[in-house]
Amino acid sequence: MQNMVHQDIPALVIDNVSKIYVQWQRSGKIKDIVKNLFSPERKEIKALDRLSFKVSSGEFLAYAGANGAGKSTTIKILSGILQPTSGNISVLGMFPGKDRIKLMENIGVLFGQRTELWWDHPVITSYEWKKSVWNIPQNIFDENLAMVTELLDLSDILKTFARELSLGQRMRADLGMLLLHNPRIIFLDEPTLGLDVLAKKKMINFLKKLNKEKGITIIVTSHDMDDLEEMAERIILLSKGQIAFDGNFEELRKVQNNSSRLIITSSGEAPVLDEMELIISEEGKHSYKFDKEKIKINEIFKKLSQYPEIIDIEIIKAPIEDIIADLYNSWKK
Amino acid sequence: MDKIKTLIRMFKIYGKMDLLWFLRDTKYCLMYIFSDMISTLAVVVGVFLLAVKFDGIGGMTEKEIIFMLGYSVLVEGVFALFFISNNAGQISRTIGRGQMDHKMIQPLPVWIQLATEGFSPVSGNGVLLCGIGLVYYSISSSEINVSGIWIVLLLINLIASCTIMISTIYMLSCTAFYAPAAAEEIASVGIGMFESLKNYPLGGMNKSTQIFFCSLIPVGMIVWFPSRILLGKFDIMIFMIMAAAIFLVLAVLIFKKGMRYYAKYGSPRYSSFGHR
Repeated sequence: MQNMVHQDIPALVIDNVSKIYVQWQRSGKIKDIVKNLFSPERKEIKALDRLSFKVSSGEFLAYAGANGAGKSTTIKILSGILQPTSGNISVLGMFPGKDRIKLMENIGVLFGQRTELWWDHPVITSYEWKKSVWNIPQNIFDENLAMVTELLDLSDILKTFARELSLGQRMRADLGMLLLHNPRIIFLDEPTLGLDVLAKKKMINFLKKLNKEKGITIIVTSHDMDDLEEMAERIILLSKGQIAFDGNFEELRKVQNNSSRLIITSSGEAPVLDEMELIISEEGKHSYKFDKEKIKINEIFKKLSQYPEIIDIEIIKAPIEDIIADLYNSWKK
Repeated sequence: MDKIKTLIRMFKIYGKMDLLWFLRDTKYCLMYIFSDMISTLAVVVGVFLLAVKFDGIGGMTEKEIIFMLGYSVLVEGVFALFFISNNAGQISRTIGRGQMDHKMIQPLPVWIQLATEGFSPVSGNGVLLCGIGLVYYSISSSEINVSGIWIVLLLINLIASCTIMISTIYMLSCTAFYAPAAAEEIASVGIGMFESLKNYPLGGMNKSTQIFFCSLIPVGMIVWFPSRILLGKFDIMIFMIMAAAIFLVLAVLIFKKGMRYYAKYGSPRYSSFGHR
């Protein structure tokens, strides 16, 4: 596969984009029958609220947020499936609403809970179908088929019906199909959803390799923050259709001032440590959150030396899941 | 020119995929073809028996009825050939299940996808062969003067009949853009309506009923009206072409409006079976 990164054009630009959905409200009461017929109650939902950001070519962006934050809506707007209510979008210098066909020749979209494979055909038939639809030259198709077969370990499943694949196999087959036409950007909506640990690891390693070696811009959404941290350098966190955070994962930890965890294994009670919050205490293992910038490590050890029942001490980075959970909670308040 | 090349490329791949089904699951594919033929013939037999019993019905003789039923099976055969697979003829399922997304991420105009993805030259040909056989039998046993012009007329009428049928089904299916759950199966209802009503000659009905069944509910335009043209009972051929053009334009306009709605609001439903 050729490296087709065009450094001069940003991979995508979202400028002041809003998307408003309308939900019909149904009371289910007899007295509302007439009202529901002529003027049903409507509720406007702002899926995206004046969203603006830019992604450079070759970036690996994690796009995260709680349920209903607007992640899938953004992916659908970027791929021309949905139109924004207002604002401008450019993907590889093209406008998804106007240049859908040209754009689709250059990008790939994969919705984790869906499949682009033909359900009642072997995987290889779907790949040949893709070759025809995308009009992929035979030599590029052969080259890319060989690459995805090797890297995604597809040789055993190419002749298997899509409906007979396990979820992990299906995701690999879908990802392989996504790459057959040399896309310059790929949008992955929940690609690790439902995968077991091994399948997930394989998927993540493959995506990282793809981004690093082929320079493909990748925009990935997931609820699994650990996966996102392992894959991406930059994370955009959405809350109520707006950007709540845009930066790298280290900066994200600093936002919450609780970037570190102290885990103590003790035969006694949990030690009382000032300025540190005890998060969980279970079967002799006590976990505290603290900010390394505020509390020095030697001070912690000094305090802990007063507890002879301590068996083991471990200091780790706060799991990104915890940071995000704290953030989501703070946004709810 | 590019679009024609794309159309041919797409017909080729869908034809190949249909053939692959036959080669892989020959037994099931043959069973499917035969059962399709039997059910199609069963639908027309009722009208045929009525015509035999009463020595013709609806202003048509027994032989004319046989021709009309042959033409009806032929229309169904052409419809099956181009729209039977992948819900191409039952587009309300695709719309209602939120699967237009699959079409939007392909680098092809949506109309090319819809026009080609139902192409089934192998599994869809059983009914077509029955139709050809029946029409051949009826013209060989009647006084129809078959000439080159008549065959061209037959082809034009076939195209027009299928256009009216698929356009009506698409117009009905557009309701699935607005009520995806309620209207998901509306295309099947439309197809069922044509299957059961198109075989009846409308000659015995009053003018207003005939106009109703040739316009708002155009079952008469699928078989009865074109059969009258081909049997030499009605001379103004342009009626069929104009009707087909009007239905097609209406279907395109309504479908485009539905697509704009889809792009604005999306679909709240999704059934994760990929391309079907």
